[in-house]
Amino acid sequence: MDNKAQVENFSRSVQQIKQEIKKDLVGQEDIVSNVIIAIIAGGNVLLEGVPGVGKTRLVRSLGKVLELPFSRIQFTPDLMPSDVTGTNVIEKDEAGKMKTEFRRGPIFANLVLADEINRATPKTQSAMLEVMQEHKVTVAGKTYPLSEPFFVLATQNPIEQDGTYPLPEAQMDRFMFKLLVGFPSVEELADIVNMTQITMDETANAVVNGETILAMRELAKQVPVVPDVLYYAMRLVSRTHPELPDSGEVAKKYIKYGCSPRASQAFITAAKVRALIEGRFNVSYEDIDALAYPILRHRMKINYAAMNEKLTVDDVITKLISENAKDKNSGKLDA
Amino acid sequence: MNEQFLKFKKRIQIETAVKCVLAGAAACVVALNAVLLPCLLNGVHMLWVWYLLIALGGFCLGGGIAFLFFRTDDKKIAARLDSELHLNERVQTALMYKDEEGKMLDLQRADTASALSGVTKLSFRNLALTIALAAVFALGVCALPIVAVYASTDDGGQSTQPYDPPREVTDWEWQALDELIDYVKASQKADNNTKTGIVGELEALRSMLVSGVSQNSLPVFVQNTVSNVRNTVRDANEAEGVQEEQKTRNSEEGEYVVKRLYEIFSLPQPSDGNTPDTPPDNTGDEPPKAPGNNTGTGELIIDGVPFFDPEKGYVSSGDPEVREKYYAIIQNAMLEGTISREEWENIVATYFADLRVNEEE
Repeated sequence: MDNKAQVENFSRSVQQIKQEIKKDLVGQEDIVSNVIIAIIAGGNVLLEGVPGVGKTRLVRSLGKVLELPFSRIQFTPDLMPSDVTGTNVIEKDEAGKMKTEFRRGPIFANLVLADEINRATPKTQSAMLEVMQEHKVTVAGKTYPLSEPFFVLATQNPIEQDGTYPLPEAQMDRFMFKLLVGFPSVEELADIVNMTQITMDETANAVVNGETILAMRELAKQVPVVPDVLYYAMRLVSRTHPELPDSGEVAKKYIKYGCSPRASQAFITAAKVRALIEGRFNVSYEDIDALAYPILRHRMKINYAAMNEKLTVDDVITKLISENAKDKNSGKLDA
Repeated sequence: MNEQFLKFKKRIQIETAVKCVLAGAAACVVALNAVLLPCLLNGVHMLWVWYLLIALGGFCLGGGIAFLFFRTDDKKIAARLDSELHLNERVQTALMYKDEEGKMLDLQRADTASALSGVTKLSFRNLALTIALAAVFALGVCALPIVAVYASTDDGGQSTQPYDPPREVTDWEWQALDELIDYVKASQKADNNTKTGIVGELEALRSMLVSGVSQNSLPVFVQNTVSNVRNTVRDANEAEGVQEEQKTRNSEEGEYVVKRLYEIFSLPQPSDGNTPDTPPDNTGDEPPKAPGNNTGTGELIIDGVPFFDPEKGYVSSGDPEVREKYYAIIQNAMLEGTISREEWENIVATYFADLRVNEEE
C-alpha cells in the first residue's frame, strides 16, 4: 500500500474512532482527540476529572472501538503489585510434581484502564513504572513482554483526597498526556441523560485493530519536522526549568521545577500524529503549542508565587507559550 | 511546489529591491540636500563631480543599510510565506527536505504545492516604512531645486549682491602706503596735531588691510580714511591759536595725503579742484605722483599707476616698455611657482589686461 493510501486510511480510521466514541460519549471532543493522538503515538494518558464526567466510559468505549484486549484495574488502597502484574503460583504438573507457574495479571492486555489510580499505595503504583515505560513485566527475576500496542489509560479524581496517594513524579512522567475532563455543558448534560435513558451500555463498534494502530504509528513517524519547529519545542521544555541560565522570566517567577526530557520526546511524537490528523504532512508550531498543555501540565510544578497570584499550571503554560512564541522566525531557533 | 515557491521568491526579491532602491534614493537626496545647502550658504562651490559622488555615496549607504536590514534568503522567504499565508510550516518543511527522497516527503511537497497554488496575493511587508522612504525621497527631490535656486544667489538668498572676491593688496600698495605714513611723520608742513591725526588714520587703514578686505569694501575703507583725514585737518584748524598760514599748510598736507590714497589704491578721485598735485614739502624721497587715474565717470585708468622698480624706483605703468618688462616678470613668477595662478590672474586682470588680450589675439 502506498503512502497516500496509508494516509487516507489513517484519516479514515481516526474519523471512524471519533464517530464510534461519539455514540457513547457526549461532547469532550478535545479529550477524545488527544486520547486518540496518545494511543497512536504509543503514550499513556492520565484522565483527571470529577466523578461522572465520562472518564471511565470513554476508556471502555475506546476499548471496544479499538478491538483490542481490554482490562480494567480498579485501584484501591489494598491493591497489591501482584494483583496488577500477576504472580507465580505453585501448581502440580501432569506428573504430579510441584512447579511454579506465572499467572498473568490484568496488566497483560493491550488497553488497560487504571481506574482511580491514585487510590492505590505507592508500592502498587510503582508496579506500573516498568509496564508503562518499557511495556514489560518482571516478576521473580523473569521478564515478560507485553503485546503491542499497549496503553495505560488511568483516571483520577482531583477532589477526593482522603485515602489517596499522589502519584510519584516518576510515574506522572510516564504519562504522555494528562487530560482534564471538564464538566459538560447544559446541552451536553441533556444529551447524556437522553442517551442513557435508552441504554447504559457502550454501543460503539470495533473499527480498528492493533495492527492498524501500529501501522498508523509507523506512518506518523515518517512525518518530517523542520529544525526550527523541533528547537521551538525543545526551547519550550527548556523554559520550564528555572534553574537553567537561558530560562525565561516565567519559569524564574512561577515554576518550582520543570519537565523531564520525556516531555521533549512526547512533543515530537505526538505532534507528528496531530499533524497527520489535521491533514498535514509536517509538524508546525501550532501542533507544539496545542500539545503543550497535556504534555507539560503534569510534569512541572508551579511555586507559591504562582499560587499566590491564583495562577493554575495551565495559566503558567499559556505564559510560557507566549514567551516562547517570540522566538518564532527570529533566527534564534536555527539548528 | 518549486514553481510556486520561485514565483513568490521572485515577488519578495522585487519587493526587497524596491525597498533598497527607495532607501538608497531617499538617502541620496537627503545627503545632497544636507551637503548642498550648507556648502552653498557658506560660499563653497564644489565641482559637479563631488555632488555626483555624494549622491552616489548616499545611495550606496542607504541602499546598503536597507539591504542588510531587508535581505532575504530561501529560508526566510519560506518562513514568511508560512507565517503570512498561515501554511503551518509547510513551505519551510518542503524547502528543508527538497533534496531528500521519501513517500511522506513527496506527499508533503504535493500538499505544500497545493496550499501555495491557492494563494495569489502576498502582502507588502513594511509597507508603512516603504511609504515613508518614498515620501522622504519625494520631499528630497522637491527640496533639491529649491535649495539649488536659494543657494545660487551665492550668499544664500540674503541679498542680490554679486559675489565679492577678496582684494589682495599688492606689494607696491603696501610699500606706497608705508612710505606715505613715513612721509607724513617726517613732514614739516603740518603741525603736530594734524600729523598725529593723519598718521593714526593711515595706520588704522593699514590694520584693516592686514586683516583682509574685499574688492568692494576696499574703496569704502579708503573713502572712510579720506573723510577721517579731512575731519582731522578740520579739527586741527579749528583749534585755538592756529595761525591762518598753518591752517593752509595743514589743509594742503591733508589733501595731498587724500590724493595719494586715491592714487595708491587706483581709486577714482572726486574732482573738487582742491587737491594738490605735488607734495607740499619736498622731503626728497617721496613717491612720484600719479598722473591721475580718475576720469570722473568711475572709469579706472591704470596707465598712470606707478610701479616700484627696486633698481629704478617708481616707474610709470603707462610706459609700454616697463609694462612689458613687468608682465614678463609676473609670467615667469607664475611659471616658476613663486605666485599662484590665481594671484597671477588677479595681477594681470588689474594691470595687464590689455597685454593679455593682445597675447590671446
